[in-house]
Amino acid sequence: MYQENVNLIFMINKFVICFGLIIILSGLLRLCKLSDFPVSLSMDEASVSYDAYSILKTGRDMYGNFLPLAFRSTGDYKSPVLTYLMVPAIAVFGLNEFATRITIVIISVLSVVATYYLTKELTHNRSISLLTSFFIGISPWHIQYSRATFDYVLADFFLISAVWIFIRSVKNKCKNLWLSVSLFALSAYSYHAERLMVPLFSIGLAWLWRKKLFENKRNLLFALIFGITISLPLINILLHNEGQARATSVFIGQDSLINSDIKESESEIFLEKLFGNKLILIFNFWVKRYLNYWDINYLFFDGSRLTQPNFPDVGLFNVFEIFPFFLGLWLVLKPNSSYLQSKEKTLLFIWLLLGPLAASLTNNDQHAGRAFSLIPAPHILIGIGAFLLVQKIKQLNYLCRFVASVSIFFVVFLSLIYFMDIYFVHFPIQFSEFWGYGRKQAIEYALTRKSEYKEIIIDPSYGTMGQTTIDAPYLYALYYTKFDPLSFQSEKRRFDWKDSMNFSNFTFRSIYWPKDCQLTNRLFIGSPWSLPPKDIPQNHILKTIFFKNGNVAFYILENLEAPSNCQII
Amino acid sequence: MKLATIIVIVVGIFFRLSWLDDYPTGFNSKEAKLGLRGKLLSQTLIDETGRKLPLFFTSFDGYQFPFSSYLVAISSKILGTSEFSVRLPFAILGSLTVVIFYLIAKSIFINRDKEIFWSTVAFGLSPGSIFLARTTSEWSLLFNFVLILVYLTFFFGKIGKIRLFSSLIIVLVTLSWMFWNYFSLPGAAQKFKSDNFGIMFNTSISSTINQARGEEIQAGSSLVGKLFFNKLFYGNVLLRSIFDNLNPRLYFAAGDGNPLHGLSNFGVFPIVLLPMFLLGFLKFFQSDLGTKWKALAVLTFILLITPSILDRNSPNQEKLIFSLPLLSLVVGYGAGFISKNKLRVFLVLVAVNLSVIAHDAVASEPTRSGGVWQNGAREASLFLSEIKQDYDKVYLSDRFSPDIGSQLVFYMSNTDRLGIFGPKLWIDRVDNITIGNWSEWKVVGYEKVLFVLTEEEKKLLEQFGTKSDSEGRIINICYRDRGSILDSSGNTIFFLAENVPGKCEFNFHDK
Repeated sequence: MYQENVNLIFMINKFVICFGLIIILSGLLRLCKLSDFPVSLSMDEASVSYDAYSILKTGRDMYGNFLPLAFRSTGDYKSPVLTYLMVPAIAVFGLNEFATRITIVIISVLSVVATYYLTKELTHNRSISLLTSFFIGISPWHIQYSRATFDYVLADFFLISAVWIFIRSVKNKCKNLWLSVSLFALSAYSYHAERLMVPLFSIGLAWLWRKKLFENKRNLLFALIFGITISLPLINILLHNEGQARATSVFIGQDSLINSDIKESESEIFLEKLFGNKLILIFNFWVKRYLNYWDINYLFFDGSRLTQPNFPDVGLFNVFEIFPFFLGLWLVLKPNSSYLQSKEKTLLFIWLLLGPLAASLTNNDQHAGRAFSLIPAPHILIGIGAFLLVQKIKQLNYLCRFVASVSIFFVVFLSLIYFMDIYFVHFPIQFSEFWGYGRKQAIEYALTRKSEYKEIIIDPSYGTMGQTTIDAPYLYALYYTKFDPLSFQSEKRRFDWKDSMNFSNFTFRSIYWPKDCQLTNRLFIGSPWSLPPKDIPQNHILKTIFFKNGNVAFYILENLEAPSNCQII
Repeated sequence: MKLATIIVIVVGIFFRLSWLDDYPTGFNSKEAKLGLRGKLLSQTLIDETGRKLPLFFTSFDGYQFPFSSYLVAISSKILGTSEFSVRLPFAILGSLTVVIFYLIAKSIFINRDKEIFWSTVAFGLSPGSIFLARTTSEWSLLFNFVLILVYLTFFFGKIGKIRLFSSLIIVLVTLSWMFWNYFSLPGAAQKFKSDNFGIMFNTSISSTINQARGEEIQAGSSLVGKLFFNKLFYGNVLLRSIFDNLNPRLYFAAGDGNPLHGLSNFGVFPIVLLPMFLLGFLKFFQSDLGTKWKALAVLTFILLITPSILDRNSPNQEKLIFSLPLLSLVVGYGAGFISKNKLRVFLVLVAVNLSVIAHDAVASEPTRSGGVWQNGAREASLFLSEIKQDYDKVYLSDRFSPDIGSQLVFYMSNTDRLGIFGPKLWIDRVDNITIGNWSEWKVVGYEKVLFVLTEEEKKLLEQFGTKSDSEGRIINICYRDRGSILDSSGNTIFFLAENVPGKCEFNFHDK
């Protein structure tokens, strides 16, 4: 009896240590050089964190709305949960990159924990659960999006937790069903894709466990009323422009690849109406998009899109996971599978089928972020496959076991090194310009000399091969100058460029040097495309900022008096 | 059920044989050249290079095996030279393959009518198979021969060791003889490698490795670069190519996107059959058939898609045709696990799906793929045939089609030129029509010249002889607009301009 207790304690400790190591590893992979990689804040990160800063300081977003449920952004409205969750971090660490990114990192590590509990609930196997959470922890897909303040991660965390609580509660007289429902609602509040995923998935879950649910009608009714009540504001948002703007702008029908076909389909010919109508065209197009999410190369070789096409890349999963993935799939599908019971198996496949659905209905092909709600379904399969491999290895003799274990460790280690090499070396070089790199340096420099100029003019477009990237520099300017939100809210709105609001002596608009050279006592920040080196006086250039690929990103140029070659246009 | 299967076969054959000259819309230079060669062989027994009954033919794309040319020769002898007669032998063999496939399915699924019917539906009505049967694809032709051979060897009558052995010997001897002759030709080995193992000769792989290593050095360390970015990357490319060829999207939704290989908007099979295929696949591996048979099936499939895997532009739908029978059998196998009522629903869905595909193939595909199929070559040839005698010279651009001379000779009835190319592999002159060769484009004195140009070249021509009139408008004093030539979908493919004799002299080469 004593020996059994000792063994049990030893086993439990082993699991606790393994689980702890997984969490530490997950945390390290997400926290390492967090402020510096990705190399710059994205426009969305700047927008969300400045809104959080604004809420912290004034209780209102940057547009002056009091505690909104949809945050107006450039071109659409952002989901609210992330912004509110970021407030504490910004209060503690201030408005900087670390504070902006730490919230999602914490949520991401919590997702690893939630995945463990969900998998345990589904498989009743701690080893599989540990392996699954380990694969989430080292997942290139999960790490990449966790380091850059994407609300996909948050929505997925709520989804995983909601499903876990749901399964627990149906096994326990639906006692905590209201909690599951509220987590589902939070998930839908957190990201647009979940607004499609959550209702469909909930219907699937309810159908699978319908008997248990109807056995506990009181708890079910309470949960339903509770769920509907907390979802009412969201439903209200969805019925208005705030909720529809995003869905409308990214809907698959807006894709340029199908636009012309749709226009041609507006014919009065009967056959055209019958077989070439808009619905059929979109369906046919969607099927391709949906199946693309099951492209093995996308999943295991190049789905992360951290490098240019045809360059070595990383998939959404590590390459070595391909074998346990298919093994896991087979183990789950084979007759009389002991790893998952019938309902749990169905749940897993519903998750796999619905995961990429919302993403496939949008106008970008293979968008890993929008398909984030697929996590952790494939990882559970990988966990099951890996568990069988571990079992097989355990049956080997000592030497073979040692060789196999070392080999596996080596493969995993190399995979992580490879991912980090792609992420920390090649990704910045190849994509720094698409992440707004250089904005921080430019604005920080401008800030040091802000008072010397009548106006600081910043061009929103730039790029290596042309003015291919257009962002919202006003967001970076607000962020890096830590501009007082109250002043910003109360300033008179001045626009020169789309949604970019001018403030203080910052102006955001296109620079046209042949004309702008007339404007004196100005500081210009623009790319070589708007400030061509052959036209601008070299002695006016105060600073040159380079992209990570070595090309010029921005010139910072002062124009105290019009150059001699400047002519009035 | 048997009647239904026969109806499917008849419909499949109908789709393969009907409106051959109209769909695929356009008749590209390769087909035209094949047609010319067939005509020459049928009339004179010599090919376009003047050789009598050669074993291998030469073309832009290297050497060609003899089967297609001689089949077209026979067809041309019987039916005359036309688009129909060029495509017909391929379509007939493709139709025969539907029957052969049905017989194979019948031998595999003994007395299982549902499976036989649905495999036949999958193969016989496969848009990919139908499309290739309507083209002059050499891969499709080879596939047809192979399937017939497989049937005769394994499924026809009682299989005996002697038959298997003798078939094997015949095949091996024939192939050895063919390939021995083929590889004796100058440059054939190199061409064979680049055509069939192109993925390994892709120069972008080495430049990618170099770029990756360069970025590592830029970042301060070359060690990791050497570890990850080396010749192993070829293995990575190969592996990715294998997985590219396993993508369900390729077979059921989109194909490889090349309009010469299939309908550019659809897969090889109708999408409706995907669930049936997945079910068949799953049930096959869940069955108690034994690991050996399952492994054999997987290996066979990998072997059948290998030509596509190794292609430079993998996946290549044309080369995937060998895998179609196996996939169709899996579809049929899956159907066996579906109830009759559900299958009725599936049948309706397949009919709708095929109608949508057929409608798109007729209404939209010609516009989408007209450029690749050189739609309009017929219209251009017939137009030039009518008006060429009105001019001293006609200069015709070769931008629209690299070997438009073949198409001209193919369609023109009033030319003396038979289609013998001489030492060149293409035709650069037909009567008074000069094709390509810009350096020879000259207008001297009072010559009357017609220019037949693509839009890009028209802009170049407009630069000559322009001058401002009294109101400042730019006018062209050397050339008159003579309209344009449209393809069968109404798109402009050529602009016509004729010179004003005696006004301007011009040498295209100077520009």
